[in-house]
Amino acid sequence: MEEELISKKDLLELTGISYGQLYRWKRKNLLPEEWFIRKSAFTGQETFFPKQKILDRIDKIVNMKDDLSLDELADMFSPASKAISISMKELIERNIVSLSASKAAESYIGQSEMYTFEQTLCVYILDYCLQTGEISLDEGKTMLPTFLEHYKKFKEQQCELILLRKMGVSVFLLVPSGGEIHFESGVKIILRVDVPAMIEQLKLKLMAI
Amino acid sequence: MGDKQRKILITGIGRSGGGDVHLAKIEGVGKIEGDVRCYELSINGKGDVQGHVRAVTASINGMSSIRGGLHADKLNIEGKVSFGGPVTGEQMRMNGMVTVKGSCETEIFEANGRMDIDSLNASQIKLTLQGSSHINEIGGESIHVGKQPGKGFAKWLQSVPGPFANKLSAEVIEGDNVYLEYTTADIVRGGIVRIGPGCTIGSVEYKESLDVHSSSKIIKHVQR
Repeated sequence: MEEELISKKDLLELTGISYGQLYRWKRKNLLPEEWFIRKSAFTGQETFFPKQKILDRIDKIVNMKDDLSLDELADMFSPASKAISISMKELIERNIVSLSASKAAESYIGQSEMYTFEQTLCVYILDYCLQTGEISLDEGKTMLPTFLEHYKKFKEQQCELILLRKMGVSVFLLVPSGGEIHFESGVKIILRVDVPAMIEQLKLKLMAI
Repeated sequence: MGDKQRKILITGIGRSGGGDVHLAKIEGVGKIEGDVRCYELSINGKGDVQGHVRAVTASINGMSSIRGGLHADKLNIEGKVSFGGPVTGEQMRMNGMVTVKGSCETEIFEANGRMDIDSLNASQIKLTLQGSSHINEIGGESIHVGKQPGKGFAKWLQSVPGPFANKLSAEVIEGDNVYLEYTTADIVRGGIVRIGPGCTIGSVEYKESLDVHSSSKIIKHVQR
């Protein structure tokens, strides 16, 4: 799957930002290093970016930089867990997760009063998967322990959650993002969840009060 | 970051394992065989840190090598220092010969001397050339590269082209406000670009304006 790329020159023209801003955002880790793809073009060395990702990110930065400091923004975009704890009641009241997802999660995470960021993320992803209508509640219940057990191993690396199904049997995988995966025939990819994007959404929802 | 009591102090000749301390200080010849996290790093003489350094303020005088990277909000260098990894911070002032194998990211970068850096990203860059510097990529808001007026013997040396001449070579220089002297670069991209004396630039792409000194050579330029 080839991503569409955009050159730095075109990006600056399209978004109206300056070199200074672009370099500052890179310094503040608002733009991940992996997105800077150096290639030699006929005009000399040029930097390219994955078009959709960088445009989305710049759009977010431009819209939010008046309300949040650059450091707060960087915190939001980073895949690192936030040090927070929040009660399930609050999560449901604020409409961050649905009641059914939280019920399903309760038996795995335990009925603790406060949820850590990682636990919240897990419930949030379960909720998202259920909302897509692609997975059943039972499948969701097998996803929870998979995620809880293995997510830590990725540390701050970006990863992806994939659901496969073959002849009615479903399998959950947690893989590093960016890698290519191939399957035998008959395997259907039901769902691919980009975990960093989920983290970003969740952080945004948690921050909005 | 380390309680006030804990210190690494090397006076004379000595070595330490590193660790979490308030003050890490070498006076003389010292070796730190690991990572250091401290409030203040101070090296006077010859230091060799084999790990990574994280400090609030760092001052390195003399001849040192930091095998890992360094992060310091304020960094001051006088002398010859080489870094084996990225150097990050808020304010950097350097005077001497500095080598960075990796990127150098800071808000303010003021350097005087010979710099050899893979990539430099800073909001304000002021580089005074003495000897020949090489920086692959330079990016920032305001970039000013100038030459130190030579005196006596130094002036005579500079008149001969060669390794003693004051110059900067770079591949790509990108900034909103760029002023260059005695620079050889493949590409310069910017908003307001001023090319002073002694430059050879492959291609200049500018947005607002371009001024070129008569002694400089530009192969092609485009406004966009």
